[in-house]
Amino acid sequence: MDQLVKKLRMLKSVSPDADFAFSSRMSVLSSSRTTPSIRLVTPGFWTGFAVMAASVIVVVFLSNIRTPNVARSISDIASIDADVAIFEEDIDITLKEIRSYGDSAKKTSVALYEASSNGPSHINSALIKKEFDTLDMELPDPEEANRLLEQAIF
Amino acid sequence: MLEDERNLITEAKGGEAEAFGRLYDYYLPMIYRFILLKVGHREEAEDLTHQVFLKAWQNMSGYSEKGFPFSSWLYRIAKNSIIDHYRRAKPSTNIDDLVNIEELISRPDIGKIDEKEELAKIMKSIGKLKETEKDVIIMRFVEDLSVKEVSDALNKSEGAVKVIQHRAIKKLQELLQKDN
Repeated sequence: MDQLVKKLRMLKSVSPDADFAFSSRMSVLSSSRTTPSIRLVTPGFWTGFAVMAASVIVVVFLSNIRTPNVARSISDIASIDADVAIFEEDIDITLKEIRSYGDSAKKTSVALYEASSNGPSHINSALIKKEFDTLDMELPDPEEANRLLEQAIF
Repeated sequence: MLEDERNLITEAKGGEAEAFGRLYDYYLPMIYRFILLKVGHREEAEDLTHQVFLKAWQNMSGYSEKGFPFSSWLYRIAKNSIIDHYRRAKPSTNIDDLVNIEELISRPDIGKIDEKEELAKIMKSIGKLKETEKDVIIMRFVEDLSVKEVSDALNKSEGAVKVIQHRAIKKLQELLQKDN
């Protein structure tokens, strides 16, 4: 078999006539080519179409599924912001009230402490005199006034 | 495969005559031998070879590789051209009238008369094979194509090509023994 294959390979030396090869080449290459008719659907059309269709499907899918979530989350954030602002205002008001109550309680306790520990000595004498001068002696119930005064002093 | 073949094919598809010219130069001997060994007549082989390349050039824009080498495409055109040729007219030559071996064998180192006679016998024996067997013998052993390339060109499975090859070689050996 090897001998046969070797002999068959020798047939490769068969070659076309050089003149024929040259003239045929010239004739082929100078012939007008069949220009493909203008096709509405080009060879790459279906690939492009498939890619475009897939893109459209993805976009539609995302717009239907993803966008509402995003919008919902955006509106959630806005409502949360509003809630937080109201809450902060409430906290602020409450803090002011606490501070105010604290101040007044402190003042009250200081006043009570001074009143209980110092007695009438802390009262400015000039102020007492002024009050005495403006005192309406014609009060219908001077005894009541005296009682209140004594209560304040003692 | 021709170096830079893909670029040449792309250029040829775009209408570059020079690119197709290089493909022509490379594949002409191969296609010519294939046709000559099939039809057994030099002038018919030349006419058919010319037609093959003319069709290839004119339909170059329709060629798409799709995993098949360019040579397979040319072989397919050649096979179809030979079939059309046989349909149109009965071959004018008998295979026994075939070969003026002096004319065909151009290689200078084949000078001995007994070698030329031996080649003439082989060519005649090939002519007696079935068409598919001829195709496989020429492509596999004369052109040294791989089984894959032959299967692509003949549109057959690789297994089928191997079976045909085995049968063809056996038949060829028997024909040569008879001739001797």
